[in-house]
Amino acid sequence: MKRHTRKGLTVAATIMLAGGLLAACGGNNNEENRPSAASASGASQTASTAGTSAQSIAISYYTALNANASAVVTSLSDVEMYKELQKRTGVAVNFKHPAVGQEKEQFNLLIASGNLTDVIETAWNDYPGGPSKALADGTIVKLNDLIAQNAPNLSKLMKENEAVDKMVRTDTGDIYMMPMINLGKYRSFDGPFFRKDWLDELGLKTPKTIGDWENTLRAFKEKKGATAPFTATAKKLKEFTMLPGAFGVSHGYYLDGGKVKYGPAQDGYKQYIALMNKWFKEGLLDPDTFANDTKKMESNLTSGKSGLIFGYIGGTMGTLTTSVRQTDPKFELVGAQYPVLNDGDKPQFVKRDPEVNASGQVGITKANAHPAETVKWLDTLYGEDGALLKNFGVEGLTYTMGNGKPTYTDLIMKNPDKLSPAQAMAKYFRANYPSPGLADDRYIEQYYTLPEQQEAAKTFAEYADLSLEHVLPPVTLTPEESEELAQIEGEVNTYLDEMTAKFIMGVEPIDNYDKFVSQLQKMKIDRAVELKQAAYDRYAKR
Amino acid sequence: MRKRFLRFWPRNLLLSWVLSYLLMLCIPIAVSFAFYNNAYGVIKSEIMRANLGLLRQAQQDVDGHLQEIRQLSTQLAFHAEEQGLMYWEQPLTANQRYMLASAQATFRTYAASGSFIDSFMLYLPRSQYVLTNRAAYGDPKQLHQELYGSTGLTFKAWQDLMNDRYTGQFMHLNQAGGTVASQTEPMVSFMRSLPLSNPTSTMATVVVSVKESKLLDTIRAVQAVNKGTVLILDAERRPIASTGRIEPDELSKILEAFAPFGDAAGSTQLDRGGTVMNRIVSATTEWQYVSVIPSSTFWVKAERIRAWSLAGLAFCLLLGGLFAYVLARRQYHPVGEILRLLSGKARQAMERHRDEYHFIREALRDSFDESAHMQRQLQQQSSVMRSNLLFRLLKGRLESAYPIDEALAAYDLSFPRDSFAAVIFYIEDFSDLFRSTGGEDEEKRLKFVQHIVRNIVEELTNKTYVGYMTDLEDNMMTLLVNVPGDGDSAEQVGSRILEMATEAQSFIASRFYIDHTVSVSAVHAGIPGIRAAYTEALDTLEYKMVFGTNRVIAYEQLQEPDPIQTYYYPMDKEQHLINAVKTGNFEKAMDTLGELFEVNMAMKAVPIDVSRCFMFDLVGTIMKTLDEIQLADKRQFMRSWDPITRLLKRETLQDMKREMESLLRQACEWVDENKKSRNTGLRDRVYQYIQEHYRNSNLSLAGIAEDIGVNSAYLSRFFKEQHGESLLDTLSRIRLDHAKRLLRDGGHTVSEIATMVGFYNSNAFIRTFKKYEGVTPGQYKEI
Repeated sequence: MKRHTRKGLTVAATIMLAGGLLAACGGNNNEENRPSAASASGASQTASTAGTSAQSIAISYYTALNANASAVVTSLSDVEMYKELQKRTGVAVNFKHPAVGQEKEQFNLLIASGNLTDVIETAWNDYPGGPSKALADGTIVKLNDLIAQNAPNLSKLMKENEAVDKMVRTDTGDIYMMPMINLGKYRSFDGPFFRKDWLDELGLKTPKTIGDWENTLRAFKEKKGATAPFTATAKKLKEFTMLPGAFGVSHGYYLDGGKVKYGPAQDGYKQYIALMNKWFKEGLLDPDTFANDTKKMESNLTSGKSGLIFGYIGGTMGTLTTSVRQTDPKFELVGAQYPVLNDGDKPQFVKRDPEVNASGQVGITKANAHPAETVKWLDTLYGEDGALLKNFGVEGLTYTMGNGKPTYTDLIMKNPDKLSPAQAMAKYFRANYPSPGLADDRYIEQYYTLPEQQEAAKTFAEYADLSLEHVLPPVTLTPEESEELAQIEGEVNTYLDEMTAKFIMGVEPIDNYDKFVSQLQKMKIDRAVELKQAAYDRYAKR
Repeated sequence: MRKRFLRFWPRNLLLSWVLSYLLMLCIPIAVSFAFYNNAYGVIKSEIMRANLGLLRQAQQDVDGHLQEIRQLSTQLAFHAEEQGLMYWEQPLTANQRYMLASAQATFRTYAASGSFIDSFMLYLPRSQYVLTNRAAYGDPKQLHQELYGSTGLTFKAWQDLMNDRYTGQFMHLNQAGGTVASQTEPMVSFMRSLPLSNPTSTMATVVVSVKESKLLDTIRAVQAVNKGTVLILDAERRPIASTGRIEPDELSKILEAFAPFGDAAGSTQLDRGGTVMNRIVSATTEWQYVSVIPSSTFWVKAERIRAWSLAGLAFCLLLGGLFAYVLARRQYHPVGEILRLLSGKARQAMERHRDEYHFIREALRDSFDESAHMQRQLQQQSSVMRSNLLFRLLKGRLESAYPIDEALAAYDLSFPRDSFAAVIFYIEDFSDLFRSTGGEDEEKRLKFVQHIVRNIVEELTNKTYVGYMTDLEDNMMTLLVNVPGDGDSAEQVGSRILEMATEAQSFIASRFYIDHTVSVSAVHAGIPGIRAAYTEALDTLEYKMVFGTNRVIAYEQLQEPDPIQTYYYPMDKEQHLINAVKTGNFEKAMDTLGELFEVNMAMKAVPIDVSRCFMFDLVGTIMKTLDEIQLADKRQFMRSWDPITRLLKRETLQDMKREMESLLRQACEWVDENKKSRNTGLRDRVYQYIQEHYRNSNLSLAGIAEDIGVNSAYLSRFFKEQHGESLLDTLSRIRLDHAKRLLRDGGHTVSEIATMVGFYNSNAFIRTFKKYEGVTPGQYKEI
């Protein structure tokens, strides 16, 4: 045998043997690696991607799912906007949503667990102790440098709008979140809605005063068989300011001539409570108000059990009208003006969205391993393209551009699955409820397809500016203050909720209201007011 | 090459190697196979175990969840019973409403924890309230619409369901749900009637619902691994959830299969009909978890192992076989080379052998034999070579560059000392030794004698000094003795050698009847001295002529020869001898001879050559004498007398003398005898005639013949016969003799003498004189 062939054979044989060995080992490894790889990708990748480029990072994102959205998607990751955003930026997002109806409980759990997601979108003023405490607790991080370095769009907006700049900061100037910015003219999106068709049927006009309201409700009950003429949830009652506003007070802290006042401690509030109790006793207020959830509440309205509901022009009026009209074409809602006590009064507490929305605020948590990339990613929503994506979705799919004006496609406006525009929008982007980014009025114009919606918008806008005087701006407290306030509010709120329910339901006689107030004072509500006052004073000086 | 391999079929060496390698290979393969079998079994059981483990995992998960559900239902029951919710009737008081609201708030907290449970409700028929995890519904229809509005379940049907009696059963219900309207979500609902304590009445119903998809999630992990179908059956063996569609007949088949094993809690595994079925019956919930996997998928890993193992085995065999062959061939290569090497020299053809080894063995054996044979020959040669070397040393015939030390070593000659002496043993006669035997050839006898002499001499010598004997050469064996040059004085060494030689000589001569003469040289230093020693010994040996044979002659004994000395043999003595012989006077001849010998032998240190010359001269004399005698059968006598040969044979002077005596005696006797014979007549008359008439220059053969009265031709022949020479020559010689006398006497000129002695003229005289005498008369006159 020649030297060459012998050598070659030896080499070939060695390679074969080695290859066989490697294949065997490699094969094994592959087998083992596949399932673990699969599981790993599912689990949190928050901290594990150090050193990778921004193009391939993934962040986890906690936020409550808006009612419109929860109706059509199970997670915001299904929303086209975020898919598109991932395509554009390469940032993958893992959304985490609390169960519908358990937003507050789950938020508290999240904070308490310490197992924070990279990003939390919420109303940071609801955080126990407020945004300063959230910063002090370390739950969220200061964003000043991050925004300055990575968020040119937001920085520009902040520079151009003093109000925006003020509202994203604490008193100490710390920027604690990236907001929803609304610089348009439409600021009031919610209010009371009456069943117009019932009003028409009963020959009633849209009620203006509290008295009107009462009569209307009575008519609903007696003539239309409404078992819950005015339906609400405990939360909604507390959220909407129209009723206490008629009595010149608000639910929580409000301003009265530059002085901070606590609503429930005021006499006006007592009156409001008394009214509610009256309505409850009479059966004008849904007896299950304190056991309702939004879905039930809405179903009351749509099933003809109720004729008055607090809600949103888009999400409530639009959605419900669209869905009920499938079976009952006569269904119609009308947005009523905020009630006043006396004829000729002007409602002082019309809900007005500030430039920076109270919700839809995104905080970067301490768990975030890529804060710069995250901020950069969020900043896109403040730029022209990002804002278009947020408000209009994907060109060609959800809107078309004509003369520089985006117009929603039929996918949104005449959804083939019979989704209301509100729900359709919620499926593809986040325009019709608070979410971070720059809002665009042009969506509203198309969003409010029904004429009654346009009307309602006008109605609610009428006295919106009056509330500027009364509504407490988003003041922030120092960490110590926050802590103190949190402690006080913790007790107060629980007591308040309990007592509110009791008073309204009649378990507790209204006569005991003063006792209730003194109890509040014992709980240091005045101190809380003081703190808020101090915060307000500071805010005013910003 | 290939042909050659096959030549030894079937007991081919290559084949046997390949087979033995393969056999070796069989061991690991057999062991591996055994291991594989074991492993296969283990893997199979592991697969079973793993599967069962997964299933058990799922079962435990679900059991855990069911536990949760049960617990929740109990909590709800508490509210219903303890707090009295289920007893209330419409219209509700404010307090009751408040309590309802509180209860609902609590429910909301129950729901916050745990995501397995989708929803629950507490159905209170008396107050027609339904408390769910989300809200309180005063109108069940409203709830029904919400939950089941888009499903086929009517309100009545649902109500009946709610009013039924349950002790903790699971039901399938489809709720309205999903992201798209009109989509339904399959749910599994746990139903429990309250009060728990009273089995007969139904005052409230607790319903805890779980999304079927959530249940499936737990068993999907099991299914994901093995791609079969996993089912969860409730205690009544109705399917609660299933990862894949199961036809009713399939289900019954499965149930049938497990039927013999009952419904006791525990795990069962079946492998039949192409499917493997695992079942775990939960002890706590009596639910059954069944996985049905096609055998091919279930055992896929084991089968893969089997396939790999068998493939590996085949590969091993293949590769092993290949390697075995390659290696065997590689190893065979040198064998092949050996074969090739040997085949050229093999005496037998390769086919005659059983296998390569046999062939090699035989070839080598032959080779060894040959080698041994050659070795022997070489040894023989070696002794010859050794002898040759010794000879060359002795005779000094070595080139200057000759590697003497190597040669000495090669022939096993070692000279520890630096000086040498030579002792020659000359074999004279050994006929006495072989007297009794006979019939052996001369060569053998000679060898035998050599052998004896060598052994004795070498033995004797090597007692004191190292000595080596040469082989026989011209009847001579030389002993080269290596003696110390320093230390002992040269005399002591010399005397010791002489002693040794003497002892040897006497021993050999007396015991073995070998007549020999020994000559001993003096001691000479160095390798070159060997030659000198040898030459000395040779020279010394010559003197046996003088000292006689069968004795030891030492070089020291010889005296410095007198260079001038000659032998004693005057011309008048010679004449006396001649006359004596001529006249046949033996006594007179002996006298003269005796005298000559006496004088010669008395002379000291006669060189041997001189002695020899004397001998030859004697022989010459005799020859001349006899020549002059004119006797009839001289030739015949000459032949038998043969004096030269006889004389030359004698080696010693003594012997020569004796021989001479014998010769003379014979000659004299013969002459005497022949003198008496009258048949000398004609011869004598002619000779007489010549003697008287030589002066006559006209003398011729014809004349003489005429005068005597014989035929001239006859006379010529006859004369020649008798005298040995022609008549004319005799005539000439006689004339010359007279001429010589006359010349010696002087007083006459050459030409006068010419005519006086009978030559025709002086020219003829001068010519003839020169012819016989070698010189001219004129020159002879001067001498």
